[in-house]
Amino acid sequence: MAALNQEILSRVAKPARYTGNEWNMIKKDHGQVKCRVALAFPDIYEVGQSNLGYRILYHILNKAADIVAERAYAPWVDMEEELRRHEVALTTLESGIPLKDMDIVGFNMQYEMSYTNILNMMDLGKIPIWAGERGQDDPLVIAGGPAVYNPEPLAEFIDFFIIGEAEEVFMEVARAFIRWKEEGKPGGRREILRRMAGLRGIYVPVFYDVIYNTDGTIAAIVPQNEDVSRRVHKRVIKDLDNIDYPTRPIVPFIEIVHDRIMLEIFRGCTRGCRFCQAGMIYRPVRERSVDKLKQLVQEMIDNTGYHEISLTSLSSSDYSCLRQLITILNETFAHQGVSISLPSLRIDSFSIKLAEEVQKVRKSGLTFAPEAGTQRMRNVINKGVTEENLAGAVKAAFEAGWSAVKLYFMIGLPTEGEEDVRGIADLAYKVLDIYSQVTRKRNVRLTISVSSFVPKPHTPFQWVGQNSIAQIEEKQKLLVGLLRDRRIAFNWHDAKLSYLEGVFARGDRRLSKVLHRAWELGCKFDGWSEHFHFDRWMQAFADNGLEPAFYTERERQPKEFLPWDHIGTGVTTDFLRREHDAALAGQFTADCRRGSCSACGVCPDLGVRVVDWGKEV
Amino acid sequence: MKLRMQFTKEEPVRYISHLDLARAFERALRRAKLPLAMSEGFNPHIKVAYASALSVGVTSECEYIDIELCGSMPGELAIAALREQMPVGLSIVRNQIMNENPAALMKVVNMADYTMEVPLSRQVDRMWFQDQVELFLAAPEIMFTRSSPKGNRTLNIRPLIQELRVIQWSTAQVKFALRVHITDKGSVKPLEVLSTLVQRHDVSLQEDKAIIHRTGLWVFRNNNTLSPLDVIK
Repeated sequence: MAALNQEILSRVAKPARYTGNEWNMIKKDHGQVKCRVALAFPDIYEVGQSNLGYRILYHILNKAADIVAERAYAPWVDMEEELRRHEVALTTLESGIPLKDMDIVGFNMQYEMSYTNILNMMDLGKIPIWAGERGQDDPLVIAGGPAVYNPEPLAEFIDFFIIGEAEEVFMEVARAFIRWKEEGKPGGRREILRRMAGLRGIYVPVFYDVIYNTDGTIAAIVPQNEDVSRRVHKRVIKDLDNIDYPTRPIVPFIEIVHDRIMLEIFRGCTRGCRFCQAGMIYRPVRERSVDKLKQLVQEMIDNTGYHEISLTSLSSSDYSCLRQLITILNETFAHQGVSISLPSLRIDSFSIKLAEEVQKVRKSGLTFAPEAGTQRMRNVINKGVTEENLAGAVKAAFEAGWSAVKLYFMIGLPTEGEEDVRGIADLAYKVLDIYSQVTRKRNVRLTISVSSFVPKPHTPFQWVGQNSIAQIEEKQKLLVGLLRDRRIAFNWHDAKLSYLEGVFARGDRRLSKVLHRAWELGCKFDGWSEHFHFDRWMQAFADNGLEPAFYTERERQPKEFLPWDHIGTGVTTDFLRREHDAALAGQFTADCRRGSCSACGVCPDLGVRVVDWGKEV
Repeated sequence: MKLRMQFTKEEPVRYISHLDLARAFERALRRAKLPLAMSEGFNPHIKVAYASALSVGVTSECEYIDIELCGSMPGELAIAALREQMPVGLSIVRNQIMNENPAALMKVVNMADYTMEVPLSRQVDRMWFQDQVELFLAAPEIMFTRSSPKGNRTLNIRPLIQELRVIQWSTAQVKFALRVHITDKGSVKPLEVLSTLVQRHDVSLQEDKAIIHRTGLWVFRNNNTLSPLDVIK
């Protein structure tokens, strides 16, 4: 931040978080600029700078000569103290402009427990937190990202939301703003919001009324007039090969969470795991072609100097031309010292050859996500993976030389019983046994990471009750007892944090008062354990007469109007309900990419289709 | 072949750490597509070496790096390619192709020069101030405690201070020149010298607002101060 002086910077940890000047940073002369956008990420630099969505938007917006996009991150608590003490506003990295002086401030809704940081950044940026209190000269405060599919808890703070993929619509928003500004801002704030509501994929909450039943459930969310659509549908980019990709990403000085080239190989996933919101909201699958990817990689290596490529997607081992892609990448780039990494792999499409191809240059750890400990439970969640698949995959990995494996699981899934939780431990020990059989050694490092299931909107499980805190903690205790082995590292998530995540994931507009109160009480960086204050959150609920269990543990009725029913992902509620019922019956639904269409509704509804380069798997 | 370079760390990157700088340099080298020598084994990395780590918050006009290249590439071509890839705030000043295998920078560099600009919290008499500095330097022992995650270590930093003098004076601030030894048992940081001075003598310096700049890294031998670029062994 250019406005920061040396005195403040020398007093805080990792001052380079705030000073910018990174390779590929874009700094424009604002003389020609007609729309200034702050891309504000509600966490610290190291987390936000890794975010691919923001890299894409930074690149696309800055391509236009009359638009500038600059970055802002949540200052860490020590810097916040300095800013408040010296009465310095939160500014953008590139030009040191206070957030309140930007035209549009866009927040990323990456994670429900970052919402207090959104409020805090607005406050530090000197922007009125309640949307209703903003005036003519205040920026438009907008939000988008994965959690936007239930925007209601933030509806009273955000002027409008971008639903879906923002590459095209964000530009439309900027152009609409410029037009309004050049016309002299006729009609004030109300008018620009009205114009934005006319763009596809934009949800303006102030134009909708929420009507409640006496029991606290929602009767309806209705538009106030016919200008505004009853349901806002997400935007989808049809052809990823022909959309801009950031081949000149910023190269940070300090270490960030994902310090490598991120290559987005496809979007969407049609496996249909029933707990997974991403699988529902990013449909349909759209792949980039191998040729395009190879071209992108070369440009990114030349422009950054990174030597590691991460093949990013929801399920990278499902990329239809994966073997071909990896072979080509290795042939072209291995001698340049560039290595490839794959995030979590699906167990059933893994093989030794793939593993060896991927890690020709450098070996990293392997991660798999069985998600549940028994076959019955896996069928309920539609994760069509068997114990044979897992055994085969880890056997192949161990034979190829890996000795470190990480397995992801969830507890708190619907219909879960104690034997399903025990099943996690059983699988862990089976993996250890396989290692001993293959290598005759005991130096394996097995990490078991167990998160707590949070039911999400727009999934087949959006109606189910979430486990209580006590239920989760009991299951965690059981696992701690079962996984006592030196070869196993057992990680779990704070049950109270997951519980609150559940409240905001499926919450409604009334939660805005709770959120604001929690922030007033000092809640921020809730995702960081040293700053998470569950007692303050409980006080915020009590002060507003709301019960968290209403949002989490309560099972929703099939005909209940859910707080996100006015936001459209293209997937029909009928499909979700069918999948919900199939789950309870333990039935499996196949991937529509390679099997038959399961009629989720996305393709006809949104005029899109699956783009699968369909070569050998 | 080894390429030895002198480079600067300027204001735009004052707050990056030594590790950050090393990473940035490595990426610049890769972008420049120089024929870098790589180490063997599981995790190949490029072969570079530095003289002395520079702290966060300190700029410098004289940092040094040794880069090992395989194959031949004319020095001027390499430097030109690299210059185009250097981030804002890191500039290459001089370079030298080291034809024989030189001794490591870290082994031969044994002296560092700094300037420290420090504001005064109130008006002080100059003569009196300089007397305090003399008194500070007259002490045979100046003890300083360094804390680290592994625990605290107290050491005598006086022998590491070669020279400390006032080179500029105004009513609002003082500018010092500091010369310290770099030994294989460690060195002393400019801020450590300042904070012990402030601790022991009530000199009204606002040391947390000090602006520190490294002005020289030297190979001091036989009473000569040599540039690392000129030293093979």
